[in-house]
Amino acid sequence: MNSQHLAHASFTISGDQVLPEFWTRYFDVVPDIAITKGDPITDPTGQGRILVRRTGVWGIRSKLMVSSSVLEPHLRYLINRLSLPKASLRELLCEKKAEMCFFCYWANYMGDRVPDVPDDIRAMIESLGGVIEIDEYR
Amino acid sequence: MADNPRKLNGYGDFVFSAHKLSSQKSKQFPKNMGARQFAKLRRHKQQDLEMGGIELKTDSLQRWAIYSKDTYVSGRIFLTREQKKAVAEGKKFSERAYADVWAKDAALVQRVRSFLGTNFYWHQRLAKSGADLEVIQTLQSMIRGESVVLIAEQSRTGGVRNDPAPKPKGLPSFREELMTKLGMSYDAATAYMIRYNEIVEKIHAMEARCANRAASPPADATSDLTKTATPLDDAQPFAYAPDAVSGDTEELAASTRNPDYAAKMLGFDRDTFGDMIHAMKAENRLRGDDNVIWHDNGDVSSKGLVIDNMYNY
Repeated sequence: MNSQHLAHASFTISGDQVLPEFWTRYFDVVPDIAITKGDPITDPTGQGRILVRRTGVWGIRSKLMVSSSVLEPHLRYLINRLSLPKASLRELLCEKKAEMCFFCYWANYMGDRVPDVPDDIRAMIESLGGVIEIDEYR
Repeated sequence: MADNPRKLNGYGDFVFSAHKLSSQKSKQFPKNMGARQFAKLRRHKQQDLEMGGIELKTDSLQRWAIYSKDTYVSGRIFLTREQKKAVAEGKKFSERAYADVWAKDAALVQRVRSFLGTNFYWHQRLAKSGADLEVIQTLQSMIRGESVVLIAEQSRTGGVRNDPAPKPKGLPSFREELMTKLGMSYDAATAYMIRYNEIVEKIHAMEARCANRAASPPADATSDLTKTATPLDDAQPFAYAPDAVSGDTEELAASTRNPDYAAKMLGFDRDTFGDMIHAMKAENRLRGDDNVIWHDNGDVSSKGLVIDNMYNY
């Protein structure tokens, strides 16, 4: 299996008031995910239903940029790309009522892998008010 | 394994579509085509008619045909080794292809539209009015997920022809029984059969584990083991505990909270589907352990609301 299929990570800022354009300017990074609450969702069933996004999400992914079966390189890529830590970020997240998350894909179909998050990364993310979530598949 | 429980299939499910495809495709013969070439194409199209597939493209080496997975596995419990090899070969071919190049081949795009619109009702809008590139990318995505298989039928490397089992004469298919006697919809019957097949797979897995535990199982012991399972071929229609069927079976059978079942229901391999779920969760800001329900048209719902569709990923 390709190592990209075993681990990768996304950085997301989410919340009902999230405006992707604001966070694109703030980080000066082109996002992989830019969704505003109420945006239409494609309905591939052909029923023509009106489906809309429930919340706003801005994010970038490591998946296509990093090839590693462990998390650390993916997390460090995201951190470097976003120039974290940023002094104003924690305050801004509170002001915008937004959540910051490092959302980690972790394939563990054999049940023998333990996700790796270095202590310095965990401490830095927590200091900014963010969370790390492991989305494990087994 | 002849005595093992058999997995279900929808005999003849796509026969009607093959006829439709044939009539649509007959319009594609160029007027200035030579007799020999015409005969060759007609022979291929007759094969399509018999097999429920459709030609995607033909080059100097081989002819690539697309089938719905149901059609390709029809009459079989599992894919044979050769079929698996052929499916893998088709996936590689599709992955290597540039969608924008295929999208410029108007005849190819039209064939794909016909195929998707006929075999996958939820793609009818796409088939009718979707952009050429979107049509091709959808096909490639479905080949990647194995709900559609791409088969080299004159391959140099072992591509195999589909070899569907003959439809049993005089007996309605299990799907027909579910639909006519239990009043299930086509989709509900399909989901019911998927669930039955899950149970069969578990029985097979249990048998495999038992066999592995035995240091050197005597032949008759193995035979006894397999005899305990009821072969579907011999089962009477509706011997499958109709008591379990209640008024809400259709709703229950057409959806699942289990991602592994959902992957099979929607025709994706587990790894691909896990990746798709993760992307869907990221874009909807769902937590890793948030429970969602997958439906057989690809819908994802949470707390009673449709929040997305897996075919968007």
